[in-house]
Amino acid sequence: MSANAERVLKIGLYALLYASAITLLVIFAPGDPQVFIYQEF
Amino acid sequence: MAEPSAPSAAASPTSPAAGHPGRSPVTWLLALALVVVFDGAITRTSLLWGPTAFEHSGGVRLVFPQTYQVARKIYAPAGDPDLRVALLGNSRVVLAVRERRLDRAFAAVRPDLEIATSNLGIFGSFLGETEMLARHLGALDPDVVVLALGAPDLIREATHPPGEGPMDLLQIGFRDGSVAASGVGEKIDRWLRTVWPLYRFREFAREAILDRLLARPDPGAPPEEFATREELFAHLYGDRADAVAAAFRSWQTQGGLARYARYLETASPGHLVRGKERAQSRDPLTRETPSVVALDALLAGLAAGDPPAILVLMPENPILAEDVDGDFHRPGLSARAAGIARELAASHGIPVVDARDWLPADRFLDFDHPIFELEELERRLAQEILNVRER
Repeated sequence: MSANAERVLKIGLYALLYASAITLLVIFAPGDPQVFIYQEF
Repeated sequence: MAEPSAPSAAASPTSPAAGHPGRSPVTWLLALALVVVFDGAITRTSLLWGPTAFEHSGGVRLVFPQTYQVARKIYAPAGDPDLRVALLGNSRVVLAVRERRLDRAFAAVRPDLEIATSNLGIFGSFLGETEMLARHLGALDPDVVVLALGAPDLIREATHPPGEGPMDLLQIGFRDGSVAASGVGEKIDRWLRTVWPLYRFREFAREAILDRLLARPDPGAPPEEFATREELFAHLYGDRADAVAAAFRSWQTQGGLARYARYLETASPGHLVRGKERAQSRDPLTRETPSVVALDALLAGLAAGDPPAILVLMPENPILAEDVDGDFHRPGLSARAAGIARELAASHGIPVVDARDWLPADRFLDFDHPIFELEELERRLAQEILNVRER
């Protein structure tokens, strides 16, 4: 593999890693509002 | 293949000379593009909007799945009807209007049109929260918007305290709602929810993904309709259903406000307490009351939109006419609230349908909520909505 191809691959892998981390962080970061506990109407 | 020459390699951001690939701007741009792709793969597919178990979990977090279901109706609507009617409001409209029943009522009036109702009511929504939800209507693109309002809705605060209201999850917009944001953090949260779909739906996405990963058991959706009132009571009250049914029958056969109150004491003591609290409330009802200000903003937003809007003053339980001492309601409040609502609606050119006296007392679950065999409501509501649409 040429040095350039290796670098392109690394860039792709890093980008995939960052994007996955951002997505998972957004979804699973703590902070779940209890949202109006309503037991009886 | 020839190696790139030294000058062109030096100019390329992907060249070995451009530094660590993890810190390259190209990497971050590509990561951003992938975030957008991942976002679409989650927020525009059945991964987020497909059937879930958590939405049927019930319990004390009733409003969380209800808000999710409303978001699904807006962002992943089913079908492609000729006419889509969106209903906004709180538990009054959630309990009173069953989408399929209203669709059948529409079909009886206009069999040539496929008309679909999207009931976007959420339990406990105050008017400021309904205004926030109305900001999402562009994604649904309804042909008619119906706002359902009850008189007591106008003597509440405009919104719940931060962290307690149903609309914490769906706050969007670059401007504040009826109540100013409590701080910069809340504003940033709202702005992020506005521009970034995955962030907007992240709490729902988490539950939906966990549902699918953990294969949580789905208790199934509750019935849309109930053949008898006993079935309804069994669904709502479980072990207490027989006692509730007996108390209801006692009121039905012998009548009287006192017996109705005893029925409510058996069925929903909390509701009875809130009725008494509301009766004792001396909060003024004026054009400056926070909920009235929120209603004004909501109506202004609806009037500025494309689809015609209607304000429906929801049916009120006529049993309250017997409450001459004002033990369970504020006598005169309904007329005052209706007057203010009419004035505001007129100022925005929005027609009003006054359904306050459309139903007898035995069609209500309690003082506030019409719920049972509502053909009369559905038939007249369908006709009124079509009248406005066809003007």
